[in-house]
Amino acid sequence: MPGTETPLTISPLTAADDLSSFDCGGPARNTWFKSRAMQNQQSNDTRTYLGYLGRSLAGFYAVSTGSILRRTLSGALRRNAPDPVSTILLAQLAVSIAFQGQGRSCELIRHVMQQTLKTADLEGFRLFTVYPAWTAYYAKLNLTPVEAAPQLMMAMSLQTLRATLAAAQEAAAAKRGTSP
Amino acid sequence: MSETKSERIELRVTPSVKAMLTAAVQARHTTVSDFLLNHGIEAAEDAITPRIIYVGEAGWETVQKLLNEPADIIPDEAAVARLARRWPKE
Repeated sequence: MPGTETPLTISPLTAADDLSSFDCGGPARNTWFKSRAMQNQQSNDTRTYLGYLGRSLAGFYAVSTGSILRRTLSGALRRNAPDPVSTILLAQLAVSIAFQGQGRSCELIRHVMQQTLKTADLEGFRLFTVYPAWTAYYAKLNLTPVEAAPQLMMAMSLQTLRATLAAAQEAAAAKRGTSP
Repeated sequence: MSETKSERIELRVTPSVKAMLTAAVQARHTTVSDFLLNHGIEAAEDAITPRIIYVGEAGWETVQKLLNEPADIIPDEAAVARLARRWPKE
């Protein structure tokens, strides 16, 4: 039985995964996960990753690529607007009720951040975005709120993401070095 | 994987909307149900996991500020601590 300090094992969703008993307490996310995640995986619309603790499905996230476009007050796209900003979009994130309150979502987010860094340089992404954002939560990870329509988004630049992850890895290594 | 179609959606429309839909499905060699369903699912997908985010002037300014952050930015301590927890062994 894995302990509370055992990290999640995170890997891409496959047809072999059984999602049927997953419950994060949010009907919309449960439904999306069970009915759309696999189809989107096959069509490449979103990539879903699952976090397991032992054989228990503890949580998931879904990521896609997106663009941020600038709009004027009238709602029209601005003329001569600069190119849209390419971004990695964290579109879904949920932790099973049985594993909530343990900081498991941070592990899932760390994973998506690491994946983001791996692809960003190759594909020209400059931003990591959560949309729609649950403000109070993502503020704790120092994401910046950005006014967007119809909902708020939160974002972190790739350079800040890189610096934050590097510091976290260092902190983890230091802690490991001092503990028996 | 395959679910049964146990739920029903019924719609009331004006004659002109129905005529338009009928003309559209004839052109696409499909049925009104399939046509509405496919387009509805696509729109729902886009509402739930949008690929394009529109920002106004204020939002755009914030985005530009983020993009111009220096590479040697000092990361937020609390965020670092949260992300450091349970770092997997290499």
